[in-house]
Amino acid sequence: MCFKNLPIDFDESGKARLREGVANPYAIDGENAKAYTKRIQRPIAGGSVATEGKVRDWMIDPITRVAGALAVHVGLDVEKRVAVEAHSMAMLFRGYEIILQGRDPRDAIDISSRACGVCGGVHSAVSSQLLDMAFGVKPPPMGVAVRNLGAGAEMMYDHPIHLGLLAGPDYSTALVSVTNPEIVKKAETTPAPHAHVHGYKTVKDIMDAMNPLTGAIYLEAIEFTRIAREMCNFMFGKYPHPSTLVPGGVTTTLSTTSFNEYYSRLIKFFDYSKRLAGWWDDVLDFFLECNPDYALVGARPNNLIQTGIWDDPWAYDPVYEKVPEWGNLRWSKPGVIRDGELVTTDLHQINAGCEEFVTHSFYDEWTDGENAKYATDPAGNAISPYHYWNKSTTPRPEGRNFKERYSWSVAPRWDRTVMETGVYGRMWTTAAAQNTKPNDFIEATGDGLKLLMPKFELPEMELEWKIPTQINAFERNRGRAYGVAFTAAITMNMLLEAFQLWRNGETKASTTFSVPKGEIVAVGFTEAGRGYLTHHMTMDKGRIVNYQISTPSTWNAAPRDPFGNPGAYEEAIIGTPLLEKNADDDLKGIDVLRTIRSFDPCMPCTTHLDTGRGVIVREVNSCSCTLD
Amino acid sequence: MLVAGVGNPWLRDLDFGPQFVRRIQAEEWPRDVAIEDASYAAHRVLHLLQDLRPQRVVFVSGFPRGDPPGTLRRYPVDQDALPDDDEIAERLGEAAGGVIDFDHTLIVARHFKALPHDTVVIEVEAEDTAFGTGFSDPVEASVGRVLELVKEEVAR
Repeated sequence: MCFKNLPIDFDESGKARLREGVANPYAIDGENAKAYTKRIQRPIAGGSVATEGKVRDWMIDPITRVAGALAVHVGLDVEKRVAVEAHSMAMLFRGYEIILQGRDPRDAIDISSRACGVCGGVHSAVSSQLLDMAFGVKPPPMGVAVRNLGAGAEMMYDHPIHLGLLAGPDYSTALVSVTNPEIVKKAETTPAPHAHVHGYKTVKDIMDAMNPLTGAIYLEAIEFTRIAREMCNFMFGKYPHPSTLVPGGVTTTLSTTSFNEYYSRLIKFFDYSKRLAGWWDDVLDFFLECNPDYALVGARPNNLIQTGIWDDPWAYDPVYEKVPEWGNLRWSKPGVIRDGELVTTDLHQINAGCEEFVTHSFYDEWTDGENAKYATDPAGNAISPYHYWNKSTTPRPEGRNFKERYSWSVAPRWDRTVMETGVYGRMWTTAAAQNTKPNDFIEATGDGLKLLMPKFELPEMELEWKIPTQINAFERNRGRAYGVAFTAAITMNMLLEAFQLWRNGETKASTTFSVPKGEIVAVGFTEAGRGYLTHHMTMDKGRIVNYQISTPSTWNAAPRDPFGNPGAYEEAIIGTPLLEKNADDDLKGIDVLRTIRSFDPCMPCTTHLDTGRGVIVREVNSCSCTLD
Repeated sequence: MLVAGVGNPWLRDLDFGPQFVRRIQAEEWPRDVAIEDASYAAHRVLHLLQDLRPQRVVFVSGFPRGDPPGTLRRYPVDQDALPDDDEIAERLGEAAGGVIDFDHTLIVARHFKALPHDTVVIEVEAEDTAFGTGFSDPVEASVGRVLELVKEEVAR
C-alpha cells in the first residue's frame, strides 16, 4: 500500500483501483483534501514563528548560475536571521507541448530535445522510448545498449558542469571570504582528510581551487565536460541534440573503434570521481564542523521521486503492461521515497500517483476534477483527471501575484505529496531497493552504495555513499559528487554489456517501424541529470493529440498546489538560516542561493518566450539547437 | 584558419551564419581552412578553438543594428578590453546553463586566450527575425558578396 492521500487500493491482481464509496475522489476541494493540506511543520532555527514586523521581502531575479530563467521571492526574518517565506517563479514560457500538437510524432524526438541545451539528449532519449511504445517497436539489444551509453556520458557531462561552474563557486575562497571570512581563516589550518587522493593539503587549498575562472577544480570541470561530450558524440552522433535516436533504436554507425574511443575517455572519469568525492566530502564536512546549522540550509522532508534509467538490453520491451518488470531491472531504480522510506519501485504505481496542478501557475484549468477522457492507464490502473494523459496546456499569464498565479511551472505531485528529484534521489532508490544485478562495480547495501572505481593513475578505490538522514543543500551536492562515480560504475557495466553484444555479433541497433493510425496512449520514462523525466503522449490518425513533458525541475521548482503546500524549492528555502556574517543591510543571501543551486535547476526544461504580454528584460536563446 | 558561422537557428536572418557556412562547405577551400558552425554555447566554442588553434578566425553572422537590410559590415574583434572576472564568470555560468550568446563566446574565448589576435566579423544587416527558415530577400541577395569577402579574408 503506497498511497496515503489518494483513495487508491490494489486489487488481487495488483491493479490500482479507486476505493469504493468515496465521492469525487480526485476533487481538490473535497473532504479528502483537508487531510493533506498542511503547513510547514519543521522547526525554524531560532524559533517557530516569524518575528512581528521584522520580515523583509527579498526578490532575487534572476538567480544566477542556474540554467534558464528563475526568480525567487524570499521573506527574511532579519531578527531571527532565517527565511520564513518563499515563492519560486519560473519566468519564461517555451510552449513545446503546444508546438508538438498536431505534428507527426517522429518530430517529437528532435523538437523536444530543443527544450534544453544542457540535457537535450535525455529528451530525445525518452521521446524515442515513448515512440517505441506508441509504434509497438522493440529495439534490438544493441540499440538499447547504445542509448544507455549515450545517457551515461550525458550525466558525466552534466554533473561536473554543476559541481564545477554553478554550485562550486559558492564554497570557494572568493565567495566565502565575503560572507564568512572566519571559515576561510579556519580552513587555512585545517588539513584536508582526503589529501592523499586529491593532493590538496588544506581545506583552503580546495576552496581556492573552486574559485571561479582561476581555480583548478573549476577549470578541470570545463575540461571534463569536453571529454564526456566526446563520449556522447560516439554514441549519439552529436550532443546536446542527438542525431541518431529513433523509434526502435539508434542509427549510429558503430564500429569497434566507437566503443574503444568511448572506453578510453570513460577511464579518465574513474580518477576524477575519486577526487571529486574527496573534495566535496572535505569541504562540506568542514563547513558542518564550523557550524552544525549548515545542516538546516535547504532541508526539507525526505520525499523524492525517480523514474529510473539505463535498461537491461535483453529485458527492455516497450509494452505498457510490461513496464514494471523491465523498470525494476534498470541499473538505476525507479522509486518513491516517502519520509525516508522506499514505498514503491513499480513504474505503474509511480505513474498512477502523478498529477499536475495549475492553481498557482499561468495556465487554464482543464478539468473540474471529476470527468476525464482516460479513467485508467493502458494496464487498467486508475489515473486522475489531473494526470498527464488527461491534461491540456493552455497558457494564461494573468493574476500575477503570490495569492493567485506566479509561475510558468506547473505543480506536479505524487499522491498529492510534494516531491523532489535528483541524482541523489536515484542513488537513494537504488541503494534502498537492493536488487542491483551482480557486477564488479556497484553494490547496494540498503543504507548506501559501494562504488568500486578501478585503477587508472590513482589506485583502485572503493567509495561509499551513505543515504543521508536529512536531505539538505549539502547532501544534494555531496550526492551529486558521488553521482559521477555512480554513473561511471554503471556505465562501465553497460560498456561491458555492449562489448558482449559486439563480440557475439549482435550488432544490429535499430528496427524498422511504421506510424500507426489508431488512437494510442504511450509514455517514456527515464531520468535527466536532475532526476525524474517523463514524456506522455496521446495520438490519433498518425498525429500527436496531446504531448506532456514533466522534467525534474518541474517537480523541484513547482509553485504551491491547490492544497497550499509549497513546492520543493520553496519548502527547502523556508526555515533556511542566514549563516553569513554580513549585517542585515548587507546580506548576500548565500545560504538561500546555496539552497536553490543545490537542486541544479534547469529552467529551460521546466517552462514551455513570452510573446509580448510581459516585459522581456533580455532575450536569450537557451538551447544549443542546430538544424542537423 | 577558421571560418565560423554564428547565429540563432530557425530565426530566419538571424540564422544567416550557420546556414551560410553550410552552403559554402561544397566550395574549394585550402587544406588549412576549417569551415564550422559555431552556434553553440561559449565553453563548447572554446573547446573547438582549443582543438583547432587557428591563427586567424572569421565569424559570419546576421544581426540587426539599424542599417538598411542587407548592409554588409566587416570589423575586427576588439582584443583589448575584457570585462572584469566576475562578469566573465557570470557569462561562462550562463553558457554552461545553455544560453547561446555571441558576446559570451567572444569574451570567454578571449579570456582563455583561445581567440587569435587576427579575428574579424563579417556581418549582414538582418531584416526578418521571425520564426522560420530561409532569408529575407535583401539578406539572400547578400550571400554572394559575403562569400567574396570571406574568400578575400582567406586569401589575405
